[in-house]
Amino acid sequence: MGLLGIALFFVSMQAFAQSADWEVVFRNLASRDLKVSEGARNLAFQKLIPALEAAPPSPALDKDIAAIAGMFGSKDQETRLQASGLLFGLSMRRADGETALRSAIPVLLSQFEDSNPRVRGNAIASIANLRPGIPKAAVPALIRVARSSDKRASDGALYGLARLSHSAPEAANEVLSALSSDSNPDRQRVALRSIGHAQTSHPDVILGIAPILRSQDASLAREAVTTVTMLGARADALRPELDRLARSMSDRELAALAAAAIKALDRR
Amino acid sequence: MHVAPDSGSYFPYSKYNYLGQTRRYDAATALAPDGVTLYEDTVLGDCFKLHATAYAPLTNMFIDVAGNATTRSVQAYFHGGAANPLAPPGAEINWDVWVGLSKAVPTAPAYEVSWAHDCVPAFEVYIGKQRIYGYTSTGYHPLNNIWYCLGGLGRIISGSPSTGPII
Repeated sequence: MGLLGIALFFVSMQAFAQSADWEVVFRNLASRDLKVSEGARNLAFQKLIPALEAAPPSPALDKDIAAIAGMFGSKDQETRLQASGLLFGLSMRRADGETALRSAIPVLLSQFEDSNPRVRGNAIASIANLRPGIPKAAVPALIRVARSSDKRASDGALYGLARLSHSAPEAANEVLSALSSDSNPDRQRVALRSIGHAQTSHPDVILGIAPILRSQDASLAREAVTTVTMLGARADALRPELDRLARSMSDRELAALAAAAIKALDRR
Repeated sequence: MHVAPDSGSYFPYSKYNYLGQTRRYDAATALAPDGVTLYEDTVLGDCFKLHATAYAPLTNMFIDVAGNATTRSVQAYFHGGAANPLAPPGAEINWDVWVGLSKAVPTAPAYEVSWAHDCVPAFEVYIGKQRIYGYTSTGYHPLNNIWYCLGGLGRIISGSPSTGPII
C-alpha cells in the first residue's frame, strides 16, 4: 500500500469512526460522583452535542446515532434514559431529524414499550417531533400507544398522529376518534392541543372540531376556540361556528375568544 | 407542605403545592427595550403582548411522607413531572427529592437531603426559610440545551445525602 493508500485508509477510518464511546459518556453522566457527572456534562454539552447537531447526514453520523440507539439494549435504566434524552434533544433541534436520526428510528419505535416510563416518553416524543416529517411506518405504533392508558405516552403519540394526519388516513381517523370521545374530555383536550401545535390542515380533522365548539362544557369549548386561533386560516371552515360564538351573550369570555379567533382566520 | 414529624401527616395541595401560571408572549410586541420586562394585555390569543396562559396539571406531582415516632424522624419524598401546558406534548421537568428530618436529639434537629433532577431549570429545597439545597442551571446548558436536559440527559444525581442542622 503506497502513501496515498495509507492516507486514504486513515481518512476513511476517520469518516466512519464514532465521535465518542457513548457507553462511557452515559455512565459518567449518570455518576453519583458529582465531579464525574459534571465533567461528563461539560463534555456532552460543549463538544459532543454541538458536533452531533452540526454533522451533516453521513455514514459517520449514522454510526454515532446507531451507537447511541444501541444503548437501549442496556439493562441499566439510567443508561437507557441518557440515550433516549440525547436522541429526544436531537429530534427537537435538528430540522433534518427524519434523515439524521434514520438509523435510530426502528430502535426508537421498539422503545415505545420500554419498561421505564421516561425512556418510553422520550422515544415517543423523539418520533413525534421528527422534522420535516414522521415516517409513515410509525403510524401503527403511534396508534397503539395513543390508545394506551399511559397518559404521557398517549399524549405524545396523539401529537405525532396529528402531524401525520395530512398524509396518513389512519392517523387522521385516530385523531378524529379522540376528538369525538365525549366521555373523555381530557382526551379531547389533548387532541385539540395536538391539532393546534401540529398545525393540522386535514379538512375532516378541522371539521371534527365543530361539535366541540358547540359543547356545553365551556372550558372545552374555549380550548377548541384556542385551537382554531392556533390554526388560523387553516380552520376557515369553522367560521360560521365562531361567528355564532362571538355573538353569544351568555358567555362573554368565550365570545371574546371567538372574536379573536375570527381575526386569526383572516391572517394569511 | 406542613409536616407533623411524629404523625406523618401532611396537607396535600396546600399553598406550597401551587404552581405558577405558564405564559406565552408575542416576541415582537411583548419585550420591552430593556430586554427583560414583558408587556402584558388582557386579550389572549391575538399574537400581541401576552398571548396565552395555562397551568401545568398537578396530576403527575406527588409527595409521599412517612414518619416514625420511635426514632422521632420523618421522611418526605417529592417526585413527579411538570409538562409545559403551552407546548406540544413531549418534554417535562422531572424531579425526585428525598428529605429526612430527625429530632433524635431533641435539642439538635437535623436534616438530610438527596436528589435526582433534570439539569434545567433551577431547583431549591427549603425547610421553613432555611435553604438546604440549591442548583442553578447555568454554564454548560444554555437555552439550546434545554431539550436535552428535559429529556433527562445529564440529570443531576446526588451521591451520599447532604446533611446539616435545622436552624
